Amino acid sequence: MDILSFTIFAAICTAIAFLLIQLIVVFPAWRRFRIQKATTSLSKCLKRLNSDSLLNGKIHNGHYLHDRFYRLLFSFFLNDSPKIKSTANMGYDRDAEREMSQFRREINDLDPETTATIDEALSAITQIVILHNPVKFSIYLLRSRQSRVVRENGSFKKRMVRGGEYLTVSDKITFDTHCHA
Amino acid sequence: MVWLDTNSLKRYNNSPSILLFMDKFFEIIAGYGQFPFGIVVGIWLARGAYNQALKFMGQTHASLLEEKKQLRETVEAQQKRIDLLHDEAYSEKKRIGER
Repeated sequence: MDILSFTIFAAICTAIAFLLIQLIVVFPAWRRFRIQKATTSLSKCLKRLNSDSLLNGKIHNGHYLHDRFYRLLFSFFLNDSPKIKSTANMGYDRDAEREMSQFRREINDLDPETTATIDEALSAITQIVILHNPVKFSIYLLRSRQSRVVRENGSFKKRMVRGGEYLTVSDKITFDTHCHA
Repeated sequence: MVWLDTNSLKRYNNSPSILLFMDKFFEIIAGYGQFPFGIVVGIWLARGAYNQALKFMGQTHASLLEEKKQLRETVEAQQKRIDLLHDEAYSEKKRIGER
């Protein structure tokens, strides 16, 4: 065994070990951290909404924002199970598109600060769902028509917000809220 | 390879014990495979990875405390809302009662 083949062998072994260790040790910790960061962001949004627009009566009963979005936001904190499952597919859905445009109009009618807060919360919702179902949702996001439409004139953040809108109006996240506390 | 040669033990028959020890040592190391010091490299990689994971865990904990704080403030804001709504409802009731 000459020095060159030994070096190649050692390099390949080291690369495989590095990848395995990253996959087994670092990735789960990173994923937990990102989920927690997104949940913290959600809690911040919940606080801002409660002390601002819900208190002032800008968001009221009977709208998407109150009936779907706010309840969805709450469900993330009532969830008992460590895993958040979703049956959503990010493909093109005409009914969801219509509801999403109505939802977007409602959001844009509010003042810019609240709009920014809601966008942040929507982005955090998508992040949490994708991090809980990493393989499935990365595939859906890659092949969906909705994301392609956004990709033509939109950033990654916009796509995340759009995913959050879809998850809000389509009501396809299943929570395990038994409240055993 | 020198250290695989078992006859080398005979050669060092009258030599100091440190050389015998080195010979035995290299024989054992060679038994681990083609890249024996990969164990050391693996330990080094694992050390780095666990440090990184622990750093993430610390950040997660800090984030969790922040979330708890935000949720407490949410409860406070909700209590304000409840008080306002209660005042409205109570004044309405009082007004109806006066009629």
